[in-house]
This record gives sequence, C-alpha cells and structure tokens, in this order.
Amino acid sequence: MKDRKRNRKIGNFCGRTRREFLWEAGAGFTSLALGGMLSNGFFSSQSFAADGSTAFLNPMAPKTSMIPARAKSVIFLFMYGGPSHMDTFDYKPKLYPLDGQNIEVKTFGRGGHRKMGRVVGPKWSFKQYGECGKYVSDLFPNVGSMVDDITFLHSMTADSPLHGSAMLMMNSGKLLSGAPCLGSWANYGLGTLNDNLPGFIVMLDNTGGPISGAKNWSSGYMPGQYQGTVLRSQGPPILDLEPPELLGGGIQRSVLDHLRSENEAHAAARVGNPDLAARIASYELAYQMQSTAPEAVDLNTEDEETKSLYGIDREKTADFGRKCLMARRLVERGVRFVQIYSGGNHDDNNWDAHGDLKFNHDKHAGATDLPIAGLLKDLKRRGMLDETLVIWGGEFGRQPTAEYAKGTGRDHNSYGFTMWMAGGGTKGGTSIGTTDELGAAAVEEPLHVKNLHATVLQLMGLDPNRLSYFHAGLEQRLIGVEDTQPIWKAIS
Amino acid sequence: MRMFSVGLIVSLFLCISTFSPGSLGDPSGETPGNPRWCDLPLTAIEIPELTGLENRAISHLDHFWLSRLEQLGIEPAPEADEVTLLRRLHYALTGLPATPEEVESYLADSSADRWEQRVDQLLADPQFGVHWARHWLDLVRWAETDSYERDRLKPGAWRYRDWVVNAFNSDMPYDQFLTLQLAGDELEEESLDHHVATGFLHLGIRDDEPADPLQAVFDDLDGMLDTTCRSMLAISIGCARCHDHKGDPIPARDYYRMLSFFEGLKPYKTGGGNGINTGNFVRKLPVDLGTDDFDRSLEDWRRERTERLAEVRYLIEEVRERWGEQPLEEAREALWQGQVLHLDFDQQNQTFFEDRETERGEGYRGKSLQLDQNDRLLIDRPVQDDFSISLWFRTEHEGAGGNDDLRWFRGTGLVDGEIGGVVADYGISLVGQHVCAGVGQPETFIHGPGGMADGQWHHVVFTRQRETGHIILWVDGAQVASATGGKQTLEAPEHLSIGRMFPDRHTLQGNIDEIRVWNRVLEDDEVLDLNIGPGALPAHRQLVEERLGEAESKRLALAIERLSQLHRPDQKMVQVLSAQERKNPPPSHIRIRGTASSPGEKVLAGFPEILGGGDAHIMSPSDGESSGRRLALARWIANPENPRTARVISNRIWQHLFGEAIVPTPNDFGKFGLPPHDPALLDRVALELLEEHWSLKGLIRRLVTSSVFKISNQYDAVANQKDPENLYLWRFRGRRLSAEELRDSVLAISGNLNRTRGGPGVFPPMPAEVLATSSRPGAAWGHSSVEDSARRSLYIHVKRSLLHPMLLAFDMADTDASCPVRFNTVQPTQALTMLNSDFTGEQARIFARRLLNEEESLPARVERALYLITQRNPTEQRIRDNVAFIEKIQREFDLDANKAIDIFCLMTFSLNEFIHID
Repeated sequence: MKDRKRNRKIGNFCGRTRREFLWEAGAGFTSLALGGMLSNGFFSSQSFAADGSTAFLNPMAPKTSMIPARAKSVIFLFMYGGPSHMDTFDYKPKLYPLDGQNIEVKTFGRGGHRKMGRVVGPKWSFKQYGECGKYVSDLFPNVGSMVDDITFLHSMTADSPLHGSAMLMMNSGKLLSGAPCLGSWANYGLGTLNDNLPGFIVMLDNTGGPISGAKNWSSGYMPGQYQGTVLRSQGPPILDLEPPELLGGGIQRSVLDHLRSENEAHAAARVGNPDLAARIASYELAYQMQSTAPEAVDLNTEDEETKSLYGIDREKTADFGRKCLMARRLVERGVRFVQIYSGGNHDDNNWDAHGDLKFNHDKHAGATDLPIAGLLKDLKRRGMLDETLVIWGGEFGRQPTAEYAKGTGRDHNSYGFTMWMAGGGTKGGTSIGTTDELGAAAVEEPLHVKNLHATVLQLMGLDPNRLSYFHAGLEQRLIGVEDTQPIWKAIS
Repeated sequence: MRMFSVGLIVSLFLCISTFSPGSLGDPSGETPGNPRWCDLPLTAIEIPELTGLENRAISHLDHFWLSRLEQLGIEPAPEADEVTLLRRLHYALTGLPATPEEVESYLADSSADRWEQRVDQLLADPQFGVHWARHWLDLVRWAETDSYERDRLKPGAWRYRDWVVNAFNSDMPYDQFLTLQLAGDELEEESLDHHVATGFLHLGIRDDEPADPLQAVFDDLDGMLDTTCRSMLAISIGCARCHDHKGDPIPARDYYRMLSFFEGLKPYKTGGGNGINTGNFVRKLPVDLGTDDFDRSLEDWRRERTERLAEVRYLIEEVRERWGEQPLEEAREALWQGQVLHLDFDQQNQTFFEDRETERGEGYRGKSLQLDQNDRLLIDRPVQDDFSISLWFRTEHEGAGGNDDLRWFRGTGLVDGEIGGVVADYGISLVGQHVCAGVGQPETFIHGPGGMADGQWHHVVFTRQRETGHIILWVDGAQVASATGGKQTLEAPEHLSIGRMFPDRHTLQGNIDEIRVWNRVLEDDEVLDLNIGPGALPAHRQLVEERLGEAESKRLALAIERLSQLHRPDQKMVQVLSAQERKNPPPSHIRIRGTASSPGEKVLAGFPEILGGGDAHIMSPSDGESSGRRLALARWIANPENPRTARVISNRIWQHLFGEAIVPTPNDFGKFGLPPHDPALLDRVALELLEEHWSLKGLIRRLVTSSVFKISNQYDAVANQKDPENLYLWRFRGRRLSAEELRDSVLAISGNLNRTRGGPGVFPPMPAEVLATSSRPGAAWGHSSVEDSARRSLYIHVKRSLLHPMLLAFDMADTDASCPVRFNTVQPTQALTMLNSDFTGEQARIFARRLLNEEESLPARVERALYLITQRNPTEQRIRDNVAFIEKIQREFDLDANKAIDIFCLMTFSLNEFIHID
C-alpha cells in the first residue's frame, strides 16, 4: 500500500484500491485491525483472509518505512499550559531592564488582542552551557548541561493561543477535535515493534489530564488500535490489565484454557469466519500483556545510580523521573510513541502561569529539569539517543508582558515560542529561528507546528507529504492540505 | 403528518422535472446527459424471472438477489436453523438477546406465520426504537457536550435522543423524520417535538474559546451542512468548502449555496472570551406547545374560582346587608393580631422613610402605589423573628432575569430585604413571569407559577417561622412553594425596599397595594381570607351559622374548602436544544479558500448542480421567526423525487440488517465512495420504501421476511471461488455484537437490565483510571443509582472528552464526525475488558446469583447459563465439560462453590458464541 502511494502524486485522487475504501467503509475486514498485535506466527498459517483470496494485510505489523528512518521511537515531554520561552531557553537580555514599563507590543492571548502591555522582565538569569555556549536559564541547569545534544526551535508558531484548540493542534495538527494524534500517525505509518505493548503510550500528570482529556491522545477517525493508551506510574499500569480478585492466583489461566477449548469448538463448526480465530488469539495476547506491561514499567530492576540520575530519589523530581525512566524502558521494548505530561488539571497545576510566574515555573521546572537531563544522559550512554527522538515543549509560549495590572503572570503566546528536540537524527548544539528582542513573535525562520510534525514523521522514516489516511472523501494528512517541509536544518 | 403523498409510484416517476440534472462542465465525465447512477430518477424495474432458484424466493426483493446469484452460478446457503434465525432477528430489531420465554414461545408455535408474527411483535417492542435510534445517532454525531476545554453540556441534548427513539418507535415516515430535524421550527403546526427535532443542528463540536470566533461559527455551520449532506444525501460536500470538489462535480459555489440554508441560524458564539451564546440555540418551551391544554386548564381554574367566590360573597353580602359591617369586622379581629404594618396607599403623596413623593394609581382597594422607572419606597424593617408579608401587585411587564433562572435576586423587586453578597437574606421579587423569594439561606430559592405579568391583580403572601426556618410562599391564595430557610433573628437590613431590588436595581413597572406585615405566621385560612376578602375564617362560618343557619354555613364551608384546594395551573417549561434564526439573516457569500473572513461572490440558497441545481423557493413562515430557508431545503431533500434520499436510507437499512451496505460507503455515493454491488437491488429496495410511504418499519418488515434474511452463514468452497467477498450474499454475514449490544446483553443475561426508556443520560461507575485522565477528575462524571447504571447503553451520558471505556474498546462511533460504518476491530483491550473489568466481574456475580435462584443442581445451572448466553440448548457433553471445569477450579484453587460459579459466569461473557451472531 505504501509502495504504491510512494509512486503517486498527492492530490491525485484516482487509482485507489478497494482496500483503501474498506477503511472508509469501516474496515469490513476486522482481522486487519487486530493486526500485528497478534504474535507474528499466528497468521502465518493463513496469509489469506478466510475468503480464501484476499491477501491478509496487517497494519500494525512493522512496515517498511517510506524513507530511511533516523528515529525508531519518540518521547514527547509535553509541558502542558505553555512554558515561558523567555524565562527558559530563549534569552532576551533587553527584556530585563524594561520590567514594569508599558510598551507597544502586539499580543494575542486569553485576554484577547492587545497593542500595549506592561513588561515582565525575565525572572531568572541565564548562563552559557556546553561547547555551543547556549544560554539557558537557571530554571534548567541540568538540561543546560545537555545543550550540545539539543536542537532549539526558537521560532515556533501555532494557530491558536487558547488551550483547547492549541492542545489539539500540537497533538493532532488540527484546531478541530476529531483528528488522529501524532502518536496515532506514527503507529499507523510504521506499525508496532512489540506485539505485547501498545504502540502509543501516554503518561499524565498526577493532578489530572490536560483539558479536553482523551481528545489529546485520540485516534480520531482512525480505528481504535491507534489511540493512545494511558499508562499509570503507580498501581496497575493499564486499565483492566490486572486480573480481578475473581481470577487471581492463577485461576485466570485455567479460565483462558477452558475458554479457548470452548471457542475452538465453536469456530471449528464455522469455517470461513476469521474473526473467531482472531478473537481467540486476542485473549492470549491480552494474557501476555498482563505480564509484559508490568515488567516494562517495573523500575525495581534499575540500579540506584540510574534512579538517582532521573531524580527518583528526591521527592520533588521522583514522579516525573519515574515517568521518564519508564519511557526509556518502553522505548527499549519497542514502543513507538511515548508522551509524558508535565502539568495537568487547571491553573498552577500546569505551566499556565497567569498569576505568579516565579512560583509556577519554579514548581514545574523544578520537578522536571533533573529527570529530563537524566533521560537524555541515560539514553545517550546506552546508545539509544541516536534512535530515540526526544521532544520538549508546550502548546504555546508566553507573552513578554503581564496579563493583569499586577503580578508577574504572562498570558499565552502562539506568535513565537520555543520547543526543542534531541536525539533521533537531530543535530544537537543548534538553535534555529529567533523571536524579536522581546520574545513576542517569531521573526527569523518562522516555524509552524506543522513543520515540527513533518520533522517528526521525516525522522521516523515517514514522508510527511505522502503519509495519508482516506477519510470523509479526502486523503487526510497530519500536516494538512498544503505540503509542508520538515525542519531540514534540525536534521543531522 | 404526511409531508408528501406518494401515490402511485408509476406516476411519480414521470414527473422528474425538479431533478432534471443541471448543466455543468463536469471533470468527472458525468454530464447532464450522463449523470451518476445515484442521481438518476428511481424508475420501476421489472422483476427478474428466476430460472432454477425460484423456489428460494419469498418476496420480490428475493428475485433481485437470487437472479444475481443465478447469473454467477452460485447456490445460496440453505435456510439457517430456527434458533439461529431467532437470535439473528432479535438482535437485528432490538439489539437484545431473546429471553428464554421468547425462544420457547416461538419454538412451541406451530402456526405457519410465526416468523411474521414475531417480526411484528419485535417491531412493536419499544426496544426497537432504542436499538435503531443508535444507528441514526451515529450519523449525526450525537453527543451531549461540546468538546474542547470546558466540554460544556448541551442543554437538553437528551431530548433529541429520545425524539429519535420515539420517531423509530412510532414509525414516523422518513420524509417527516428528515423535515422535522432540518426545519421543525418552520412548520406551521407547532409542537414541542418539532423544536426538539431541530436539535439535530446543534450536535457538533463547538470550541468555546477559538482563536478566530468567526471562523469557528463557520466551522459549526460547516458541521451542520456536512452532516446533513452525508447523512441524508450521501454527498461529501465538505470537500468543496475550500475549493471545487476533486472527485464529484461539486463546485465551491454549490457548497456556499447549500451553506446559505443554514446561515440564518443564530451563531453559537458572538464574542471573544470563553463564553458561548447558549440563548441562541436553547429555548425554554412549554411541554404542551401547540396545544391549548394549558389555556383550557387555566380557564377551568378561573371559572371554578369565580363560581366559588360568588357563593362566598353572596353569603357575606347577605350578612352585611342585614346586620351591617360590624359583625364582619368582629369576625376578622383575630386576623389583625400581630399586624405591625399596613400600607393601603389610599392617601395621595404619602411619604415614608425617605422624604420622597410616590405616585398613586388605581388600587386593588382604593389607591395603590404606582411605580415606574426609578421609583421605589423604603420602609423600616418592622420584624425580626416570625413574620408574614401580604401584598397585591399588578403589572404587564415581565420581571427582570427571564424565565430560565428563577433565583429571586435576579428579578424585579416587590418587597426586598436583600443584603449585598451571598448571605442569609430575604425578599420577594418578580423574575420573568414568576413570583420568587429568597428564604434567608444562601443558594435556596423558591418560586411560584408563571403567568404573573398579565395585567391582573395578584396576591402574594410570604410567611417565616424563625424556630424551624419554615418558609411558605402563597400566590393567589394557594400555597405554591415552601423551603427551610435561615433560623437567625434578623438584624439587617435596616430597611425594606418596596418595588425595587436593593440597592438600586430592577424596579417594578406597575402597581403594589395593601402591603401588610405581621410579626407572626399566618394560618392557611387567614391567607385565603386575605385573598378572597372576608369569608374564609372559622369566625365567618360561625357568624353565618348563627345568622343564616346551618345549611348556609355548610355551603360556605364547602366553598372555602374548594377554594383552598384550587391551584392556579402552572405551565411546565423545558429546555430544548433547537433552531433559532436571526431576524435578518445576512446575505451569503462564497468564503475564499474556506476562510470565513474572506467573503467573495454573493450567492443565493440553492441546490447542487449534480442534483439539478436551481435556486430554492423560500417562503418565510407566518410567525416571522425564521427565514424559511431550512424548510425549503427539507422539502427538497424529503421528497420522493429526490433521487438520493430514498436510496441513501434504503442502503443504510440494508446495511444494518445484512452487515454490509449495497453501496459499502453509505455516506458517500460519489466518486470517492464505492459503487453499489447491485444497483438494481438498491433501487428496488428504495422503491419498496416509497411504496411503504417512507415507513422504515414497513421496509424492515419486507426485508426480514424475505428469504435473503434467512440464509445461513455456511461456508461453501465453490461459492467462495466465485464471490470471495460474499458481495452477493450467497451466505449470511456473521458479525460481532456492537459495543452497545454487548454491554446490554451482559446486563440482560445477568437478569439485571433496566429497560426504562428516556430522560437525561445516566452515569454508570467510571473507573478511577479513566477519571484521572480528565482535567477535573473529581467533577468529570456524575453518579447514578445501581438501577440507572443498568440502563441500556444508549442512555449512558455521552461526554466527548470522557467516553465510556467499554463502549470505546468495542468501537463505538466517533463522536466528532458522522460515522456511517463502525470499525469492527479485534483487540486485546477488548479481552482485558471482558475478563478484568469491574463491570463484567459485577455482572458475573449477579448472573451467578440468578442461576442459584433459578436452578438446583450444578449441571442444571450450567445448562441454564449456556441457554441464556446462546439461546440454544447445550449438548450433554458440553454441560459435562463445563461442570468439570467448575469442579476442577473449585478443587485446584480451593474455592467455595459459589465463587467457582461466579468465575464460570464471567467466562461465558467471553464465549464467541455469545459475542458473535451467525
């Protein structure tokens, strides 16, 4: 399917196959959806669907990438609420002396469109780090120590400075809800590397999910196996993964054995119903997941030095550190896309610093700086950073000016903000694009969320302009209707 | 209501003028002379002769189906066995398994038409509507919230769901079904249901805080148009929003001409910030809208009250005439005990607390206080513990605050003792048409019936007992509300404000008279006496008995008793998600590249060229509340001459009965869809729908009583060679239960299903893991009783950002876009749900209790369980195997006998024989 698409000019709607339409028609072939989540051996005896002639295609099985892949997996550290770029990684020395002054600056945020504002000088000082001499604020001294592996994107822009739609844009490329998320696209395009784990895993903040909840990891118009699975850092990691008390103590295995014999007897009398065999197999896979998934997130086998590297031995950083270490273990086991939220719920439970910037960012940077640096260091020393793309950022940045008459809080800013990437075929020690002297808007080499998405797909071996999914009469693409270039300068 | 009378099909298809294809340069090769198959008029098709399979045909439809198989040289599968058919039928029509009684009665029935009888019985079962409504709700992306940050509740969205259920159950003709959804509000005939149906227009996602509000409003309109076109016409018109359609001959101009039909609707959002204009799409309407029920009951009330009052007055007058005023005054002496204030406003230019003159007008008695604009009167607060306030008022102007939110402080003041802030204060006000009161307890408010701003005098009494906090509100002599209010001695406010809310808010435009205040709580008969004039007190009865005799006294007592029971009828109002148009809809424009802020050429509402084009003939309804645009669209769609409408719905009915539609892309009959497997068959089905006068039940009856519904799904290698995808239905397509069917069946089999229909959505327990994904985990989900949690899945509240995990795992419809065909996946999460979830565990225990109650021995219990699960008697061997399994786990894991049965029951929910239908 992909090969054929490669040779086809996008925008030409002719030449579609019956199978593509089947997706549109709701995937009449149900076994397709089960796909690679079954052990690869299972369908080797029936490489044709039970109708006897339709070749069995397995969308979740690993696929040949469209182009050479640089990254096998992605870890997206989502700073929900919108971290302030001029207080973290986008050094604005001229902003400090303007503190408290009313100046002319065009902004658009929660408070609407404004032409004037009172400057809030950056609340932290910046130091140079690494060989590249990158300025990083005192909020991120540990991340600072890794700047030579990081590619900063200072000229990011997004279409909305309001959380609801901006979150959807960063996760799914669209302002409207109902589209599949980046992790769904990666799994749709590449399939899974581990039959026993979900391919798209989301870890949420302890205070709750982001606004719009599950829309942020939804597979939208794609089938359910591409949606993100929420993984918890404590207790049973996945909903309904643990056998209930009723099936505890090994009873479940006996139940499954009996169920299997019942269902096999039922299927034997029904030739040509592949769904029945697929469902039998799905119970075995579920059984395997019950042991595989807890093992994947069990940190007991990690040594103390590693745990300390992630800050798990400190109260402030233990939670995010645990999630970062779990992410490394998941990626090691072949999970394509892991997203970790820093911040959840509302107000100061996330990076949305409308009131007291100092309090808010000290809190969230304090909880994440060490774990993030630990993750980068650990991936690097294990030789995994080359094939693991780490992304850092929120749904937008913040304004150089205050939102209210008093206080240090900044309003949202989608005219210019910073994100960064590390590993997975990115350059490192590089900064791309700039915002103006105030950090109010991108000026040089402006980048859009779509460029970021295109870069992620490109690094994973998927051509962002050719990866498409037929839905509602259109070849839908993550990057939208217009062709979009990856950020070539970021790619090594 | 019949929108169109179909009449003779033959004559119908002679008049196709409306839909003669228009002229259009067409990139796809479909030209006016060569329109697409689905845009050709439906014409009667000759019934094919069968040459070999004629003995398999029951209906005319079978001839079409069988003739294709004959052409292919395929022998269809034999008829399925009776239990398989019964199971298939029950699920197809109600989405529920047949009960043992239903199976037994069917098998015991020897009549030749038992199948047809069962079909009719199931079509008449209200659960039919519950099941089939879901198919429609998938198409219109029904959900009860807006999505995005606040994921707001759509008020009364559940009424639309209930309307759809009722429409299926009452077999509303499909043309009417569509018309009401598009333009129920624009029909001459008014009813609540007509407005509820237009909730269809407000079901989409709505960003409450969009970066570009104008664009967001057009996104919303696009959602309406796109959903209309996909669900009713199978046109993917949304593609033409930004540019001419790449596959079908639909220019962008067509899109904006069609969009114009919806542009009269008030926008869901007009300003910035995160507010939305709920009033633009939610109305409060009387439940009996369009009937005169309320007017009649009001008239009855007035008449009886007048008659009874006349009796009382006659007797009192007689006493007065013969013995003068004095005995009557004496009878009322006790009433005035404890009265600390009486304002009759009979003196001109009386001043009170302030040195301020107030106007006088005609009073209830003598003169009254007449208020306008900024007038008001302040008096010293005369009471602090127990008290009663009585007053009369008259106005033609509704009080402030509308009729939706009846909190006293929002209204227009009558007697107000408000204190700033959220505190324990009191007051009586007029909110909209209602007398409302604050009761000295923050957030506790009471109100009386509507209809108070009718220019008539109304009597209000408010009583408070300090010790118990008991508050009663009386309107026109009847007790209308009570509450428990504050119990403190009042120390504030210093003054009471008459005719205006404190401190300087809404003033009554009208008259107030006879304000009386007591430092005690009035009795019921005292209130009535104040209301009707003298006559209601025990002393009056005594007086009449003494002077006029016992018979007259009894007559008086009877009249008073009846008056005290007479309650002014209240009109019940409900919130309805419904269409509302602007007074002057703006002209419609093409929006360049789909950008709302870039208007291009002006366009008029009209139809797509591929369906004949033409401007719409728009007539504004006489009520002047809307443009009539949507009704014009509805008349054009819900029309037997529209070549698409009947085909599209017929295709869907086929889909839901036979597993795959004849056009496998039911939302898109265009170039990007798939062609029909058998166009003649589809046309025949559509013609039969028209013969049935758009009756969906009628069409379903024809289909399930045909031979094609009764074949088995037996595999055949030869047939499989010739038609490997079973496009032509040589065997029945087996299927998995849908998400809702599966959950409902688990509940039904455990004996726990609550078949109650209708009402607001329910909130079955949501796992903590799922709640934790919400940005407000504690406030994300409601709580329902155990009984409500066992309602059918259709009634589970649909919150876009927090979907039910089991329904989600089993491929429920996407909530954000029209879903024509659900995915049908097999995933390990489904197995985890069936084995490990709280829901299945709990239901297994309930199922096990049922077995323990219904059967004595273990083999009998196993047999019963398998019978309930499969609707079929298990073999002896199978019973023995399962008994052995139960005994084995009991032994091996040292379980008590009941727990082993729990486990067995849990296992049965995962049997493929349960989850799949043959």
